[in-house]
Amino acid sequence: MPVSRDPDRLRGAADLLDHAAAAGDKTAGRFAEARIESTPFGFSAQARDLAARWEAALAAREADARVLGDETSDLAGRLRMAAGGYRAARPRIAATP
Amino acid sequence: MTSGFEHPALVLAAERLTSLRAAAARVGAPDPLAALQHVDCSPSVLRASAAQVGVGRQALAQAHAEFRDGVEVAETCLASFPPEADRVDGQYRAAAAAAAATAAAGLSLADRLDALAAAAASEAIGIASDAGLFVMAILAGDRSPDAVSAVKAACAAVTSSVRKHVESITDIAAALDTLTVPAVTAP
Repeated sequence: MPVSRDPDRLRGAADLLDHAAAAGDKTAGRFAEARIESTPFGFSAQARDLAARWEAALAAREADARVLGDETSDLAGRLRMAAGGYRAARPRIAATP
Repeated sequence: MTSGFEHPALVLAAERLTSLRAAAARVGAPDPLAALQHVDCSPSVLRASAAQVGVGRQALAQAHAEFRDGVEVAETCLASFPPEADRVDGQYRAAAAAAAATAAAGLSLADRLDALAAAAASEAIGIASDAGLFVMAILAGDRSPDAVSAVKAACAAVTSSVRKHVESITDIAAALDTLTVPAVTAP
């Protein structure tokens, strides 16, 4: 990650990504709320198999959202590191007592 | 007294098959309503589940928009943005497509199960109606071979119809095959 010339703006970008990551987690919750028991599909073996596949599809969508939340959060962390790197690279001026 | 069925067409069929069921019990034929239980379902519950996936898809679109906003701001203050951003952006698109496909598949399977239950109910009502005279005869005490045979054949026909419809559920399930695995994976 290259060092930024505008660390405050980069931190703002990281904040936006953090919001996106939180929205990703919220999205995972929305998919989890779609889960239902198998009864509405029916009682046959074929219906139970269909219910299991629907459950697997919902779990896959929930996993997608969680991965995106994690990856977005990781990217936000990298932006913050770049912002901090810029500050550390600047010459420090000793404060007068 | 409730029929024990969830699907409205099967609730109606249960009412229309009351006499056939009673006649079947008299001659030792399989219970036609027990057969119809195998195609009972609740399409409204399935549609609500699919609609909730649609809500998730919209929430994902919102998250993607916020992601894009953050990336665009970051791009203005970094000479070279990490390639991970493009990869994650692509993953948002893949996840959104999978969510849209899942919501559509959910609605489709609800419609197909709905139609399947309605068809099985309609066929059962037709079968019971065709055997109506023999059913009444059995209930009146007639045990002639023709009457007994007709009632048994009607019950067997209901069972056969239900079996055919239940087997078609396998085709419905196959439509979900590609959606049961995650569309995105962590690096």
